[in-house]
Amino acid sequence: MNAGWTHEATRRPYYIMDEEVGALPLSELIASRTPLAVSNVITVGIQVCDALHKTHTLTGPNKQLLGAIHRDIKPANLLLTEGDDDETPVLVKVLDFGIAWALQYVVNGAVARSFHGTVAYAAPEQHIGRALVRSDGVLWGRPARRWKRWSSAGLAGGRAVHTGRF
Amino acid sequence: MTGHPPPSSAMIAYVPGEVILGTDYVVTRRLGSGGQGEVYAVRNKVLKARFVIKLLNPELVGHDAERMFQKEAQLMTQLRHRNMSA
Repeated sequence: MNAGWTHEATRRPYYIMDEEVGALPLSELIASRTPLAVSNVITVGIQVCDALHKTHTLTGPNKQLLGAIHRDIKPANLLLTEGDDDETPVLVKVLDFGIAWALQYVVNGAVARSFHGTVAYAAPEQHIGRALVRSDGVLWGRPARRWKRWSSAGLAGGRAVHTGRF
Repeated sequence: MTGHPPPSSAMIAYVPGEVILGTDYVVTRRLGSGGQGEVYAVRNKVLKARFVIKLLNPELVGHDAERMFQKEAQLMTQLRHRNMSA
């Protein structure tokens, strides 16, 4: 990780992340209608849960829960890469700049109510404009995504409408 | 979900091949942009390796968003996980 500011004329804060070279977004796999073995669907699901759990349990310097959430889990943000061995043929990489923009801090139980995400994968409380409580809404994205995997239709009408934000 | 204002015309957008001034990064392509900034695939001239850079919208510099951006960068360093792209 590297971070800093651009030239003093612009002085924009930036930070650097790794590029996942040769990764296939799950959305492209779905679009190609390539059948995915049930075991691979399960593997992908477990790995996404692992990554989200790590995010949800991030703690600060005093061991306090930071309340970081992703808010935009969807196939386009799940990159499939080649696994390490036969036991893990597929290694999922949850795309981080989704998290990055969406990162919220739960301060005294309050989180921002602004909509942020992709309609087709958003949790019900996001649709009706209520506050997203830590991880619950993010985890809604999992069954919604799996539903899409099996049915090629989203739970909220099937058409992904992006907000134009991350 | 319409009605979001388009990215400000004042936003500095980099084109492929352009060096991000003050850094060692050359833009390969734009990955995304929004009100909060831009994300580009870049190449480090010195390391000769590919990375992704995220830049804050210059209009947000000096506001709360800048502090959040710094926090976010710090948090991203903690988010090391085999299933996380960071």
